[in-house]
Amino acid sequence: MRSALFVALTLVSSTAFAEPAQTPPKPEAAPRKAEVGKQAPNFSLADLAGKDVKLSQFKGKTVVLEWFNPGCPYVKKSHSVGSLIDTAKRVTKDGTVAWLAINSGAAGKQGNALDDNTAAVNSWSMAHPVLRDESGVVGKMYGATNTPHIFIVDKTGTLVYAGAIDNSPDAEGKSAPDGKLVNYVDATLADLGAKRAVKTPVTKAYGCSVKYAN
Amino acid sequence: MRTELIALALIACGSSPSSAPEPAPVRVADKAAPLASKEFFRVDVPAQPACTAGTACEARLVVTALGDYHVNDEYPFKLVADATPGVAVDGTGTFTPEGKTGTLAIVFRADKPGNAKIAGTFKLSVCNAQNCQIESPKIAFDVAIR
Repeated sequence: MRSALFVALTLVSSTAFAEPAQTPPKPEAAPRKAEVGKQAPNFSLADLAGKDVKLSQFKGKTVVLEWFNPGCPYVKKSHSVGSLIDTAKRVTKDGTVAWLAINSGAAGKQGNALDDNTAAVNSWSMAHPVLRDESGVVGKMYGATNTPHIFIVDKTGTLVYAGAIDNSPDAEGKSAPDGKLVNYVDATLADLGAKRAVKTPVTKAYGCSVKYAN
Repeated sequence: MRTELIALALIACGSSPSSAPEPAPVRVADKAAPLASKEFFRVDVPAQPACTAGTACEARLVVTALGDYHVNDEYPFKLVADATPGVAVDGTGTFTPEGKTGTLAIVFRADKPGNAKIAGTFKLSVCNAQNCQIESPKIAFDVAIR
């Protein structure tokens, strides 16, 4: 009985680093919402070249999710002068961290066009994938409200951070309280690296609203 | 030849050759003209509080969102002041949003009486339901110092 219950629960639960359950979910079932401290929900999205990327394929790595909109002035500032200018390249260099940008903008909304995303990738020398979530399902599942909005999944698949890229809401790194800039990706990765609890697991994201269809 | 030159000079002054030359018009600043503007915002300088040389004074800037935009109350409005001899400016100040307008009160100190020039880059943001705009207009204005 206990074994049967365990197997059933394992099949039903969908986690970041588990393949989707064999039994298809009921159509009316709402996707599980992401919650800091719990297993991050898995997803599969196509990148700009149309190639499917699953969160679960990064099992064993820490994954940074960056909600992205190349037309958003905050994203532009962050990638050209602010904290996003080099963070992704720096933290993914040793191969233990993966970085995925996700664009949940609906068709026809600001920053949705494929050309705009491709141009931004080139302009900002982004080496990581930009995933397209036009339906907004993944964005809403994670509760992404802003661009940029950062979520960090640790190597066990647990969501350990949700919030802003830093504590400088001008997106230029020049308005941090007392002039002390905190890059929350760096801070979270430092905590994970030191095997200690993430000191600041949730912050208020700033930036543009995610351009969902509704 | 001399007559032709005089005629040209008169034409250049915008005067009729038959009337006496008038003094060049003094350009009066239009008080309604904003310090900076675009289709979705304008920046104005209201009447400033009195200021005495050598003391900490306050200067105010008002940003007004236009059309369907509103002031972005989550943005750190500030003036990044240019270095001006005799005037020290802390442009971080305090921003008070009120719907479609917001007032940035900054602190400055002028060494001498007269007109103190405050200049710099005003960092501001306004949003509507679809988009946010971050703008950085250059502005400059004078404050009378007693």
